[in-house]
Order: sequence, then C-alpha cells, then structure tokens
Amino acid sequence: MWIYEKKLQYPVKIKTKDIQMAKYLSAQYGGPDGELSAAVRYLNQRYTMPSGRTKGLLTDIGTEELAHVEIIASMIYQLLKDATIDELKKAGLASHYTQHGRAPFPQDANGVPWTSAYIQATGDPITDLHEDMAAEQKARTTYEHLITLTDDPDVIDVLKFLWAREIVHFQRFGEALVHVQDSMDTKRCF
Amino acid sequence: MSDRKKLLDEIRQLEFATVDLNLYLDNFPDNKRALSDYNMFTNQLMCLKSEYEDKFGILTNFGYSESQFPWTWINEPWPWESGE
Amino acid sequence: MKIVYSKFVPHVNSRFMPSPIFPTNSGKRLARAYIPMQPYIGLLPLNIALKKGTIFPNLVIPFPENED
Repeated sequence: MWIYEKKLQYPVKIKTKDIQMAKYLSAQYGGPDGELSAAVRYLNQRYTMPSGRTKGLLTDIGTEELAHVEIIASMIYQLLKDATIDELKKAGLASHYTQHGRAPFPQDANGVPWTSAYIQATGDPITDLHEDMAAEQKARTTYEHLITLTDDPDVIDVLKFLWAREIVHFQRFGEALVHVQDSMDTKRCF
Repeated sequence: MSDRKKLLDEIRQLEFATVDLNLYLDNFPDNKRALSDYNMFTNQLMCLKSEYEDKFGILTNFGYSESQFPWTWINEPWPWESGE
Repeated sequence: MKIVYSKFVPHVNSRFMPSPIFPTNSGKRLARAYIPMQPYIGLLPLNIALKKGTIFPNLVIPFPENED
C-alpha cells in the first residue's frame, strides 16, 4: 500500500529558465535509465526477492525512486509553466507542446514513450540485483551528461542530489548481492 | 525565511536522514547504532510534523494524520508548484 | 599403455598468478561480483547531508569535473 507525502524529497526552485532542459530532463522522467524505470523495476522485482532484507530494500529504493520521479516532473513542470510560445519553439519543444501542452509526459528526450521493455525481472535475485546495479550506474552517467548540458545553478543543484542518490543505491544493491550470494553458499553446505 | 519554510526544511532534512538510515538498516538490521540513530531522528520528526500539520495542514492523508477544519489535505500550492 | 597425448604438459601450479586484489585464500569465488560492506562510522550534520545527497560521510563522492 502506498502513501504520498505532500513534500518534495529535495526542493525544486527553477528561477532562470534554461527551457530546453525540459526536453533533456525527460530522459530521467520517461527514459530507459530514468527514475520511472528504476521505480517500476525495483517495485516489480521485489515480489520474487528471497529474504525480508531484499524485499525491504527493493520496496524502499523503489519507493524513493517514485519520489525522484516527482522531482523530475516538478522540474519539467516549472520549466514549461511560464515559457512563452516563442521560447518553446526556440527550445525545440513545439512538438511536445502540440501533443502535451505544458504537461510533463513519460517519454525520453526524443519523445519515445516509456515502456516496460526498459526493465527486466528474471526472478533470479543475483541476476536482478546485477541489473539494479547497472541501472544505478546508467542513471548516474545520465545525470553527469545532464549536468554538463546546463549552466543553470538551480537545475544543477537538484541533479547533483539525484546523482549522489544513485551512488548510494548502487552501494546498497551491491551489499544485498553479497548477502544473497553468502546465504546461497550457506544453503549448499550439507 | 517564513516559519513554515523553516519548519518544512527541518522536516525535510530529518526525513532524509531516516530514509538513508532505513536503506542501511535493510542491509544491516543488526547494527545497533544505526537503529538507535534512526529511532532518534524518527522521534524528532514525529514532533516536528505534528507541529507543522497543526499550523499548515496535513502532510500525509489516508489516516496517517488528523486534519484541522476545513479539510487541509487539498490546500494549495502542491509540491511541484511551490517547489517544496 | 599407449601414450595418447605425447605433447601434453601437465598444469603444475594453479596459484602461479595470484591476483593482488583477491588473494587466493580470501574466500572469494570466481565468476562473482563483490562490493565491500559500508562501515558505520557516523553521520553528517543534517543540513550538509541533504545537500551532499547522503547522511554517510564515507559515501560522499566528489562530483567529477568536466573533461573540457
């Protein structure tokens, strides 16, 4: 069961408008290595995790990723909110505006819709945890690319927070992998 | 800085600590220091949230907190608008 | 007995090339990934923790600077 807390995990206050970032930030909203992919991946994999620890971890990181989805959506929302039509056209966002107005939408930076083809759950916890570690690295790299693409300090501040979370999640999944491997070894000792 | 923003920022910082500790505890449930730190922050968080919610409206619904009258859950602005 | 493999050289010492990272008696297995466990060494002050993206000082990694 989910509960929503009416507060962003990290504040989002976009004042100067690097409008075209709204397009690129979509990569972390509806893209293959974005927060929505992370959330759905972990929340779906958790059903076949082998222990209370791993069920807890996948549920909790998955839930935190939903909070990150909200942060990315808030950034896109704030960037699109007061942009003039001219600004949107210059930023290459006219096609987005055509189909979605000023609404964020779960698609990647090129408008490719989100799909569960971006995630996997094999039911094998060792395999799934490796996918999770890879996912965190892909997200980290994407944040590094995004940070390089803008000079807007308000945007960079939020992106650096999200970047740091990916590193922490990687560490957590790595520890879980070692625990799962250890407990599988112990089970085999007759 | 308004009283509301200051209180919410404190709640945000405390809650972030509990999230990071929660993830650590999921992998190291036997770590006594981690658990006692988690509980200490949770305790402070519950107090601050109670104070915030009485003045500015509930932060969580579905039975997690009681609301003042009229129903405060629907107060505006929402987090993506205020950025908080 | 007929010698079938006249050119066979027996494999003498499987520990001839020890890995410096995983010494052969470290208990670690081949074809596996290992991440070191994070020790609990204390917590950052709360305001700094949120900015840094973690409450654990040993998980604070400096952001890589641009290659330009």
